[in-house]
Amino acid sequence: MDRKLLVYLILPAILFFCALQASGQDTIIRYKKTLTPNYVNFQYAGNYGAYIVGAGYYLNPKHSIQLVAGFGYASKHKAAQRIYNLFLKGIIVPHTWDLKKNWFLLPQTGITISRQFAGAGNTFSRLPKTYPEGYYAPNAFRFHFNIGLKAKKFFSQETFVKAIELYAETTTNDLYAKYFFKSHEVGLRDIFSMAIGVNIIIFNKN
Amino acid sequence: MKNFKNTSLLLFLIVILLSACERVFEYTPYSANVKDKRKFSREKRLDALENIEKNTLGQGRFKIALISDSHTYYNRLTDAVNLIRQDDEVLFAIHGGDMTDGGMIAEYTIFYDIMEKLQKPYFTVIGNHDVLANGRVIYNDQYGPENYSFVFKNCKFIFFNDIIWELNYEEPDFAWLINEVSNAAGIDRVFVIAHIPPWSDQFSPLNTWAYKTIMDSANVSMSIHGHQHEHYFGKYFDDSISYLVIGTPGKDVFCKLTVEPDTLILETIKY
Repeated sequence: MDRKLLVYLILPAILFFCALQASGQDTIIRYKKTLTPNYVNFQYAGNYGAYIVGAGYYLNPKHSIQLVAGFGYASKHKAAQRIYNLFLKGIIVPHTWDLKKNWFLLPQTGITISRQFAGAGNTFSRLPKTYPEGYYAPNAFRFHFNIGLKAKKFFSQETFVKAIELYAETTTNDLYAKYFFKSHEVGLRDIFSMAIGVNIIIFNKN
Repeated sequence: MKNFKNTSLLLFLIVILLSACERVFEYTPYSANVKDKRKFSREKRLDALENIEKNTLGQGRFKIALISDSHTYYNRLTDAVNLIRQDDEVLFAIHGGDMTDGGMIAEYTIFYDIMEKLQKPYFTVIGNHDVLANGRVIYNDQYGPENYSFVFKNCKFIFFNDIIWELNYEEPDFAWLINEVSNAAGIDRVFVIAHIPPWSDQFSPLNTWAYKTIMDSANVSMSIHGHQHEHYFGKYFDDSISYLVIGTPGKDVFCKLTVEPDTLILETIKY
């Protein structure tokens, strides 16, 4: 793993975590506003950026349905062009395994829609008027499928950070699925890649 | 039983995660990162062509294969590649553009891998689909400059980028084309390969006139195109120049062109 990963992802996450821990030493009751996220999400790779940051929301009391909205960035070093992404990720957590000592293991799956702003242009969400109608299908939106596993550690509910989740997932997208079905050359292992991430949970309840 | 189910699910998830280890991390399908082994690959094919020319010195007649608009018809492209490979008379292949559908790095890679199975040199011209997203950057990295030419057995093959709309209405470099066709003293035949036929949607009447005039002035043997997906061969402008639109593997069509000292034989292959 390169040093940039440390700078862009892990270090901010640790700093953020420490700052929140420190601020949590006073007993202050915080109430979550509707738009305040339940958790902050940092992710490395996953088809919608190299460095991804998002705001996560629990959509039901069991936390089995979640939504992350965020931004991804792939640098010139990673993608030969600077590529920006906005994304919405729907997550389903179907089960929880209790590993004792406040550690839990949770499988997760979901679908992400991303709007990618590719460096060299010629990426559009609506066909530019310079083309005849139907000349190209819009090519800026991608649909991604993710499946993975996360480990969750609960802290005291009185601290600012209520829990932390570390996850790894495998991901593909609509284009790669199309190639898989259209070519004998493309195998299942060719269309999946990995992502790793961390969720810092600030509000356990809505 | 419950434990068994949970363990099975966990194992299944681990297997899925491990299955992703082939490429480990990927950042975006719009990446333009061409792997080193695929970079500027045209150079090595030109070297291979030079060797073929040396090995067939006494042979005046030669055959080439013409494919175009393969997009994501990967299985049909593979079938065409297999047929061409089996024909020992075919010395090299030309792809008339639109080797991708959306100019994606994965599409360039799959195309590259399939064409490697040809085991003969092949040369490409850039198509309008190939410049979508970051496709133009990838093309230039994977193959080299868009406009180029080479001479094989005293025949000049000129590859010309004539994409207009997708390059922000940038005019094709007609000055370069004029220079190439006129710089053919002592050459037996000149073939021009450009993705979009000059009578097609992207050409303004002025561009059509310019292209046609250049072909006429150099008495080009054949102007070879793709883009329309339907095969066509004829003297479109009722002048002396033959125009060929190759067709697409999506409709099970490719062509073979035999070049003899005083004859051209065009075969249209339906497979």
